[in-house]
Amino acid sequence: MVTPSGLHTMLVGLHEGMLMLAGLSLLIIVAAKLYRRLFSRILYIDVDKIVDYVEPATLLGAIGGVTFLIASIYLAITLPVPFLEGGGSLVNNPLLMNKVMMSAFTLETWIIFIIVRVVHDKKIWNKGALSAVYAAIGIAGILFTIESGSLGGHLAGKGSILDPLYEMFKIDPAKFFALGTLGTYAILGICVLVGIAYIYIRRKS
Amino acid sequence: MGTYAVSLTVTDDKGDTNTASKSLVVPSAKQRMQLWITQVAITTVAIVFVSFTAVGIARKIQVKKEGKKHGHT
Repeated sequence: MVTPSGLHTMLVGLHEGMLMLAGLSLLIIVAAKLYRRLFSRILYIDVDKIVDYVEPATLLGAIGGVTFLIASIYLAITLPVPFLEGGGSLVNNPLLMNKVMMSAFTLETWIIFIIVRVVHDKKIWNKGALSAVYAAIGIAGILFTIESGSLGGHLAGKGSILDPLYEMFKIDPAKFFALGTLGTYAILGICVLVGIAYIYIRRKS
Repeated sequence: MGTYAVSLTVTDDKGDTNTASKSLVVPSAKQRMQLWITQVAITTVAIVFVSFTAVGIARKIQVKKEGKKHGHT
């Protein structure tokens, strides 16, 4: 019999695997593009062929990952999963709060990644600045995925590959990741700067 | 919300003492939840805004570049 817990574990594995596939494919494309820009005079590699082969995996991984992540979140909310039973409610477990927060950012970032790719087609990789922004969104998605997976590992009591980094920067994943006043102002500042840049570019063109 | 005061008194060999105290404000479960929701909402909106605005900026730059390439200004 398939238990909700087993199903949740399977969906977690599936979404993390698919999103990692998307992330790795994206990093291969970025590395190939950088290679063409910096070292193509030394040794020629057909970068366009690499992009042709790898690019579909990026989109497929992102769509699959988002689908399985939504299913995994749905299951975690509606069915009694062990970490919710043992760890208490969301309010009482800062680690769970952090995990849910990072999962929300992961989902959001990859959805934006898919929307941008679908709107601009595969040709996005030949559009200089646009391809850089697209890659940056994907890289943000990879980072959120890794952090979310790491917190999931801590929730399951297994630790994570990021533990040496947590130790180095004295971060306790079991403590609530509060943004603080400075963090809030930093986020608002970035939004204002990007907004001003958009208005400036729009007026200029 | 609860406020907790912690104080520490040290005494040296001569019997002189010194005391330091610090008060800690711990939010209630409801306040913690409200803070969490606000934080998630602000960051979510910020990610959407920054991503799509950056895409818009990059698009404008690209259109301008392509226009220059084809001789249109």
